Amino acid sequence: MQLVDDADGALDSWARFCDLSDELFGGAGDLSAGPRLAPVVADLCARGLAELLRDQFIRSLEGIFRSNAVKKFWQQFHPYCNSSAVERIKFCVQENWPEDILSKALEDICLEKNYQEKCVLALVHSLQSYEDRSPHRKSKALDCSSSLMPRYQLMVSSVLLTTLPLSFPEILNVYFKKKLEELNIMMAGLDGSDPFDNHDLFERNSTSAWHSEMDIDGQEPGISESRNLVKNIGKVVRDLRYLGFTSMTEDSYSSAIIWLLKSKVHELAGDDYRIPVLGCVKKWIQAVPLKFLHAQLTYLGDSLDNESGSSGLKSPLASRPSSFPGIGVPSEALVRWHMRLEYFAYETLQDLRIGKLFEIIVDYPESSPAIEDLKQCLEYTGQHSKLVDSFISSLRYRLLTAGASTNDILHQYVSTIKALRTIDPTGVFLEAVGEPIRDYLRGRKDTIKCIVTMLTDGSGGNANGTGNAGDNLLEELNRDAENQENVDYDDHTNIDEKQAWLNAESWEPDPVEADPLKGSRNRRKIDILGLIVSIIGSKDQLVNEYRVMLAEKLLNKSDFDIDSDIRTLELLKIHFGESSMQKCEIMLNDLIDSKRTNSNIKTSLSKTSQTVGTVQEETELSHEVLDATIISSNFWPPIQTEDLTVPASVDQLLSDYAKRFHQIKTPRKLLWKKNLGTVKLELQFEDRSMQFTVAPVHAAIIMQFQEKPSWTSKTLATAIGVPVDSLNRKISFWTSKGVLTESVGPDADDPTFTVVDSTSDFNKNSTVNQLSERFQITEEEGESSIASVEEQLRKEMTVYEKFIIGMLTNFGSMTLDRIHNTLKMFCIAEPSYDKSLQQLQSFLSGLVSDEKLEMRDGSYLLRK
Amino acid sequence: MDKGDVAVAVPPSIAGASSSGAKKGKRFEIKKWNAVSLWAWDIVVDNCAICRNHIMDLCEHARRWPSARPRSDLLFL
Repeated sequence: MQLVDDADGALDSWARFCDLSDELFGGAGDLSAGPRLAPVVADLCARGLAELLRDQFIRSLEGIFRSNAVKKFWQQFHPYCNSSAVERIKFCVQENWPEDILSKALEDICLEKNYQEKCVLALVHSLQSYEDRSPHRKSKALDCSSSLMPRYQLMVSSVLLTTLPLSFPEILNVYFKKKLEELNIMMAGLDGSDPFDNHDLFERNSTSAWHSEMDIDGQEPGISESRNLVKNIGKVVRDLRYLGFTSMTEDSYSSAIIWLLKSKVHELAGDDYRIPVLGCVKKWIQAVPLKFLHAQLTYLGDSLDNESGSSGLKSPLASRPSSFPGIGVPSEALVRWHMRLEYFAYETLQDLRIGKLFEIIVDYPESSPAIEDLKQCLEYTGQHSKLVDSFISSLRYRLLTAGASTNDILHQYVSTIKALRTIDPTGVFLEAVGEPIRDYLRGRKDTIKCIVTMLTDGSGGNANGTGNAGDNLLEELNRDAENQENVDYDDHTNIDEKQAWLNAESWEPDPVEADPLKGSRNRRKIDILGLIVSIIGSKDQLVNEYRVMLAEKLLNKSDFDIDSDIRTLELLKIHFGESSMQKCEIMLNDLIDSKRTNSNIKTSLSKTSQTVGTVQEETELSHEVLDATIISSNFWPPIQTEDLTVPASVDQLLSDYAKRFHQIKTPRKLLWKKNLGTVKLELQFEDRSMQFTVAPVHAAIIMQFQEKPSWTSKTLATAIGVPVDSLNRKISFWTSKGVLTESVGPDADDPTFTVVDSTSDFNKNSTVNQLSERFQITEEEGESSIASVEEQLRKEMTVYEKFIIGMLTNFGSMTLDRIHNTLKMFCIAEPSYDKSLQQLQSFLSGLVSDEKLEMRDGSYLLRK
Repeated sequence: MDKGDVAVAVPPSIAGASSSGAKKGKRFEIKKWNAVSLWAWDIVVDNCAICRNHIMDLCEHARRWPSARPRSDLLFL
């Protein structure tokens, strides 16, 4: 009988429990069923059904929560989640989306959850009441009551996450992006009146400070707006955490912050390299993301305190809705965020600048601020090898190509040296980056000539306008060297034992990227000139090229002004040594002597003319017309000599001048090189007058037309003593100027040239535009006064060709070294053999390509 | 460097008058001739009597000391 009674009692209690639970759930705020629940709960607990009771309660709550709150919550987002990618964009561009529906949905579901929590608390209360009446006995009711709320929280999170649409994280991300952009815009508007300066930010981390700050909300509407915005965001974040979306929320706003930071860096950096941006980025990090994070952390802490204080059910066993460690944490979290954001900013800016390093160096030195930014970024991230790899790749693709002129490559090389010197004073990365450029330049034929021009020509080396206008690179390098010496001197003065110790303490090893095979030095002085010379390998070729170019320049001067050349020579002596530059010095000295001798001779001739009292015929020229440069041929490069018959009047002047030189400078004489020098002419016609500065051969040609207005090319060539084909090339200068016109005569190979007396005649015969006339010295390619270095070498080596052929005839085959040593042994005069092994090898390679010699197994032999 | 320009056209009457004195009314004038020449010893022998080198070459002493500056008016005889 008892058994039957017990079963019936349990069933009755269970039925009543279920009825009361349903009443409680459906009460819509009415908790009056709570107190009536206690006896039933007590009865069931007494029967050992506490766990069953708890599980049933949670399961009922879950069913209601899932079918009501969760369903309505996700329905808010269905329009977006069910859209195609294109339609989703339409949602994103709406101004208030997803803020409106997100706030509303969160508000509704949180209300539901809040009510359910009250139901849970009612049950907890009942369980505790039972426990109070049975203190002496251990009961499962205690375990059930303590675990009830956590289990409920877990249920809520599980239901939401298992029913989560895949697009919900995306929606959150869009929300945070929009809000952060909004905050960014507000802060931009408040620029200059930002109350968050760097120092205060990390002190404003307590609730009391937050409260005191809120008091001034009404004083500044702008600040108030931004604070309201942050509060709204904080409310959304709090609600999301309340529902169990804590990690998803953090991921979303972290992603949004990083995204916005990246956009900001790109916006500030852009393509303008003349403004430093790193400082602006760091300030922005303080103003927008950190303010957002700081305010949010403080707000959430404050909100939790408020909520906890206002909780209606004050139960010591009730757990907080979400965990929040305490007041000390926000500061620590904020510091970690600060470091994280700054590192990301450094890395983003660094990657941007590395990707554009080629352009930055092209713009150097205007782009120095960008280089300074890059230097700071690399110091922070330590990713120097990324720079080296990326930049070398850019160089190979964009600079070291056939389309780039040698001059451009050299200028980029110099700019690279200067720029990388800023980033890495030790010169380690410059070694890595410079090597491909040097290798490539060694393969270019005109590298040496371009280097010399860049060093000595005033307009080339300072295209960017650095330093004094017109200074060549050599002047600039000299100033750099002087500045460096001053610094070194200061360092030396201050050196003592204590200083030496401090230097030792601050020593750092070479970066990992440094090549261990190369010598290690704490501070390699980056010598730009040395790096340029290293392209060639030795200074001798540079010096020789400079000598050739100097000769060309001096022989085409119309005056004796060589001050700038003297200055350049003094600078080159500093770098290359005085003995290397001796021949150049003598060349300049020849011009100084020429000026003095010229003056003496002309004075003497003038006196003679006056003494004799000879009246000049109309065809005679005054001695004032002639100036001569007299050179010491031993010290000048070989000069091109061509026969030329000059006008009779000029020939007379040259003869008189030479006689007087012989008288003054006995026992020396002059040997004229009539094809060299420059001539100034004035040509007068019926309707115009023209002035020209030309080469002597051009002058000889046009003066013939004063005797006779029309010439055939063959007779004219004979008259001035040059080959016909040479004449035809030279005379094109005058036809292009519109002075002469060409017509086909009886012989097709012998055209006729005629003077153009007036423009009306000219227009009939030629289409050359007179407006394009220029007064310039014409230098046709391959017709320079001075033989090029290659031509010189070939001519000099030709003398030894017979010796080489003779040796190989006698000895069969000989190695390069043996040929070299034999020539040195036997060719000691007329002229002596003074070539290098490389020069000999080059000459022998020429003979091999000419099929005079053959090379086999490293030895040369005659070709059969 | 001199800058040239086109002169004003001469009136026909004056041009006619001047052309009677000059050839066909045109004149080509050499304003300045900058010439280049080498100096050489005006002597018959080819070799220096003292050092036996070619007359235009540096003597052994000068060649051995690169820093030596040969004086162009010194006679190598």
